[in-house]
Order: sequence, then structure tokens, then C-alpha cells
Amino acid sequence: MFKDTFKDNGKLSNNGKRIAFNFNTYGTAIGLAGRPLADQPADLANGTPVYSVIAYNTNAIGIEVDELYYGVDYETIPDNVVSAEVSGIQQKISPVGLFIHESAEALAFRAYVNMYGSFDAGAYPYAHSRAILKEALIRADLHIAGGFAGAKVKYSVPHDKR
Amino acid sequence: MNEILLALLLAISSRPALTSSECAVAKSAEHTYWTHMYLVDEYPEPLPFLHGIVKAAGAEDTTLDGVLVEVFDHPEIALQTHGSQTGKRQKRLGACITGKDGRFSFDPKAGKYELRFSRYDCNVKAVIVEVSKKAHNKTRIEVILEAAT
Repeated sequence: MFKDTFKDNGKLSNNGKRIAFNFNTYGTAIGLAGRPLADQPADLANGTPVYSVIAYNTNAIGIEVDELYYGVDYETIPDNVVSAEVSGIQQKISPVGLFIHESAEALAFRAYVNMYGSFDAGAYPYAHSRAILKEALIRADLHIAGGFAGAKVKYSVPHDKR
Repeated sequence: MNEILLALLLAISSRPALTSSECAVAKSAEHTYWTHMYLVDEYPEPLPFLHGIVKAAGAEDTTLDGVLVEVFDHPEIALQTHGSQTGKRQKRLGACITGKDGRFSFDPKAGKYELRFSRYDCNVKAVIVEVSKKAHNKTRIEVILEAAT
């Protein structure tokens, strides 16, 4: 799913090992083409480039640890966002919540790069804040409760022995 | 004599609890850059002191500057799945910001600590480490930060 994950001899590269470790320890693997410090999605077998990868380990548990409105203008945080985050504190995040948040964020990154030309320091606050706003709206429409995926979250994959 | 003793006590008490010899001391106003995900893992074996290097995901020969490295007590709080994990019950014992070489080091007394790494554009990572002065493994802790999601 990601570039540079295998060596010529078919074994995992260091990059591949890191992504696998993260997936087995924290439970997610998220990539975005062109974004610095992000894992880069591999092209499809037919050569079609992939813009975003969002993978979720079905054994993972995501918990909203606390409210967090990163990138959102603190003077104009909509009430529906605040109530969604507050109600989700210490609650499990449904897998669909992660996919809603991360896919909204990926689209917002694309919009940002189209507007400003690059993934500069403003890109993440822009994309993350817009994903928070969108997540709150979709949650309400679909009656999704529990942890808010765009808040301060902790993901882990429980293991019998670590 | 009492004045000298008092001055000595004042000097000791006003000194930062834990300083790093390999990265710039962080100001007390600089706190964890909470971006989105808080990813916690345990280091597999005790170390005699805490030193290491922060690298960039996807370019692992590239070290990362501007990373706030913090040492906290009560690491068990970071490991909890539920309960308050906002750090309010933890005391920050030391903090520094990495330079271009990505290095950091702290030499706390024996015990268990949370070593937390954060930057404005990265997910927060924490490593729970046991410091034992009897430990022989002087390996540098290598932490790779990924883009915030």
C-alpha cells in the first residue's frame, strides 16, 4: 500500500518495518501523496497514482482522550463541534469515525495545496480543522456517538504480552 | 555560615530539575504540541540514562529539528487506556528542543519516565522508559515522528 516498503530481495525495508510496527502497535496506517513526513501511497498495479491511504487495524481501540480543536479558530468553534467532542471524551471511537475524519482531512489538504501551492506550515491546521468541522456534521447526520476522531485521541492494539 | 548554606540551597532549588546536554533547554511556557494522535509505547529494556535521536518518517537518515522532548514522571498515566490522560497529574522534569542533529539527552535518577516527543506538524509520540543505573545498554533511543493526521 505504501512506497519504499520492500527491498529488492523482497524483505521489508526499514520504512516497511516502521509502518508495520505502527499498524500493529497503534492500529492505523495513513498516507498522503506528496506530504512531507507522511507515508507515501504506492501506485496501483496498473500505474494509477493513489492520493490517500487510510488503513485501520480491526484489533485497534481508539479512545478520545480529551477535547482538542487544533487549527480551529478558538473564537468561532461551532457549538455542534464542542458538544460532539465533549460528549465523546473517554469514549471509544468508531472505525467509521476515523475514516470520516481522515478522508475529510485528505480532501482539505488537496484544497489547500490547490490554493497555496504546497504543503507548507499552514496546511495541517487548515486540513485538520476542516476535517473536525465536517466530522461533526456527518456524525450528527448519521447519528454516530462515542469518541470524536478529530479530538485528542489515543490508538493502540491490545496485546497479551508486550 | 548559615547565609552560605541558604545561598547554596537557593541555588540548588532554582536549578532546572533535569537539563539536556544535547539540545536547547525549552522555555517553561513551551508545552506539548497536542495535534491529534497520542501514540505511546514502552521501551523494551532499562537504560542507564536517556539519550537518543529524533528522525523524520519516510526519510530516516534525516534528523528532525524543532521537536520538543519532555520527561515526565508517573508514566503509568500515559499507558492508561481510560482515565485522565491530559498530563495534569504528571510533573514535567525536563524539556528541550532538538537542533539539526535531532539529538537529546537527559540523565535522571533511577525510575520510570514518560519521554514525550511533539512538533507542530507531527503526531505526539511517547516512550515509557525505565532508567536503571545498573543497566548496561547505552543504545540511543531512536524515535521516528510521522506527520500529524
